[in-house]
Amino acid sequence: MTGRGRLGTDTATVSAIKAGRPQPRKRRQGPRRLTGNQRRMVEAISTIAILIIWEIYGRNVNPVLFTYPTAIAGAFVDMIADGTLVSATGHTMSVVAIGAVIGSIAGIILGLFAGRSETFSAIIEIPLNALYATPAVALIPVIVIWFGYGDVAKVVVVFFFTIFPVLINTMRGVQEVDPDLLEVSRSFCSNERRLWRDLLLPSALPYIITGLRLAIGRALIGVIVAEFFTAITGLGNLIVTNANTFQTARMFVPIVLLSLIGVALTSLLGLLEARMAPWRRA
Amino acid sequence: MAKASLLVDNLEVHLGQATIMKNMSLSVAEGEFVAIIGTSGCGKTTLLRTIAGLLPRTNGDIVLHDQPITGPEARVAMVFQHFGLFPWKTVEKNVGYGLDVQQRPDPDGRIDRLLEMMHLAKSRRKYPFQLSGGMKQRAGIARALCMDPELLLLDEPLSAVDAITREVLQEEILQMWERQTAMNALLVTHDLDEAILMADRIIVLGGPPAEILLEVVVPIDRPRNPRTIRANPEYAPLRTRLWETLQRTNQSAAAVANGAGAAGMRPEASPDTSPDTSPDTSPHTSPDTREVRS
Repeated sequence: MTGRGRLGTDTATVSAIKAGRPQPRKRRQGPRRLTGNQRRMVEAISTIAILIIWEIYGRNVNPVLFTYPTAIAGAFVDMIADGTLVSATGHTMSVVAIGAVIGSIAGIILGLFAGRSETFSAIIEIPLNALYATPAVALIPVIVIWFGYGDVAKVVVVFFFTIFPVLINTMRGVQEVDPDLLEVSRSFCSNERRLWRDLLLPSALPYIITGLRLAIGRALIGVIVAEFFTAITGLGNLIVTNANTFQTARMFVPIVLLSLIGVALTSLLGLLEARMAPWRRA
Repeated sequence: MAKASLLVDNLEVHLGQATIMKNMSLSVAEGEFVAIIGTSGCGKTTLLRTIAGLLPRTNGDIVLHDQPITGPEARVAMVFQHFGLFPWKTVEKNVGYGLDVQQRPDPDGRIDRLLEMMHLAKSRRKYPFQLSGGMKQRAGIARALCMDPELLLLDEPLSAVDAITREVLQEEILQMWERQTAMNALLVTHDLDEAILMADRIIVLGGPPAEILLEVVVPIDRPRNPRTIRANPEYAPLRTRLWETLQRTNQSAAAVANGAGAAGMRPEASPDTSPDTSPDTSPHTSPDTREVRS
C-alpha cells in the first residue's frame, strides 16, 4: 500500500518537528517573512500535497462515499462534453453576478451614507445588526413567499448574503477617516463634493475591497443555498441530482468549480486593489 | 512697524466645558513673523486653530486685512505638525491640492517652482509613504506656500522631524521668509531657539486658560544665519528671559493642575533638575530644552 508508506513518512516528520519544538529558538518579531517566490512555492507545494493525499486516500474508499481528484477531472471533461456543466455554471453565475452587483452597489451607497451621517447610521444600526445576525438561510421561506421559486428569489437571496458585509465595511471605512486629514481638507476650504473625492472615498477604498472580498464568498454560499431551497437549478441542481444518484465524482465537479471561481474572483479583486490603491505599502 | 494686518481681539474659546482662553488679544504687523511659545496644553495650538477658522469661538474678533475671519479661508494657509499629506496623492498632487480644491489656476508654474525650491522636484511622483519626515514636511510647507496666503500659520511644523532635518528646514524656511515681503506668519513652537531664529517678535503664553506672559521683539537683524545667531550678544540674554518666563508658568501650571495630568506630563521640567536656569548657561549646553514637547 503506497498510502500507508506515505502516511508513515508524514508521522515521522510530525514527530521530528515535535521533538525539535522544545529546543530554544531565535527570538523574532512577528511571523517569518517569505519572499514572493518562496511564498508561491509554499502555496504550490501545499496544494499539490493535499491533492496527492486526497488522490491516494480517495482511491481506497468506496466510490459512492467519496472520490478523488483524477475521477473528478474525468467527470469534469464528461460534463463539459455533454453541456450540463456549461449551462448550469452560466445560470448560477448570472444569478451571482446580478445579486452580488446589486447587493454590493446598495451596500456601498448605504455604507457611504451611513458613514458620513450619524443620524442615518443611528437609524439603521439596530435593524442592520438584527438582519446581519439572522442566518440568511432562515429568510428563504419568506423570500419564496414574496418572490416565488424562480430566479428573482435566488437573486434576492444572493443580494441578502452580500449587502451586509459590504455595507458594514464601507460604513466603517468612512467613519475611520483620519481626523487630521479632515482638518486639512477643512482648512483648505474643501467643499463636500471634493471632500469625498480627495479624502473619504480613497480612505474607505481598502475597507470597501475587504467588504467585497467577504461578499464574494457569501454570494457563492447564497446562490447554492438558494438553488437547494427554491427551484432546483444550476450548479446546486448538479450537486443534488448527482448526489441522489450516487455519482459522487460528478457531484464534486460543481463543488470544486465553485471553489475555483471563489479563488479566481478573490485574486481578481486583489489585482484590482493593487491597481486602484498604489499608495499602499506592499 | 506697519499697521496691524492680523488683529485678534478679546478672543474667548471653550472646548467642551473647559475655558481654553479668555480676553486673548494680539496682533501681527504687515510682513511680520510672530512666534508663539508656551508649554504643552497652554492653548497655543488652540489659538492657532481658532485663527485658522477651524475651531468655533465663544467671543471675540479675528480680523485679517480689515476683513473678519469666521471660518477656513483661502487667504490663510496652515502647515501642520502631522504634515497632513494625503497618502493616495503624489507629492506634486499634494503640493497642488490647495490650488486644485479651490479651483484656482496655476498660470505662473508656482507648483513647479515650489517643488524646486523645497528640493522635491525629484520626488514629485512619489507617494508620502516613500518620503522621510523631513521631505513630507517640505511638501506640507510647499502646499501652504502655493496658496500665496496673506497669513501663514505654522503649527509646530518641525517638532515631528529629527533634529538634523529640523535645523536644515529651519534655515530653508528662514531664507524663504527673508526673500519675500508680502506675507505674515504666526508660528507656534515649543522650541526657544527656533522662535528666536525665525521670529521678529515672540509671545510667551501661559495657561490654561491661555494668557500672554511676555511679548518681546527679537533684537537681531535679518538676514539671520542659524549657525552664527547664537554668537550674537543679544541671543543668550533673550533666551534666558524666555526660558525663565516658561519656567514660572510651569510651576504655576503644576500648582494649578495639582497633578491632574498636566504636572505628570513633564516631570523633567521641575526647576531643580534643569541646568538652564542660571543666566550664564550657554544655549549649546542645554539640549534638553528641545525636548519640551506637546
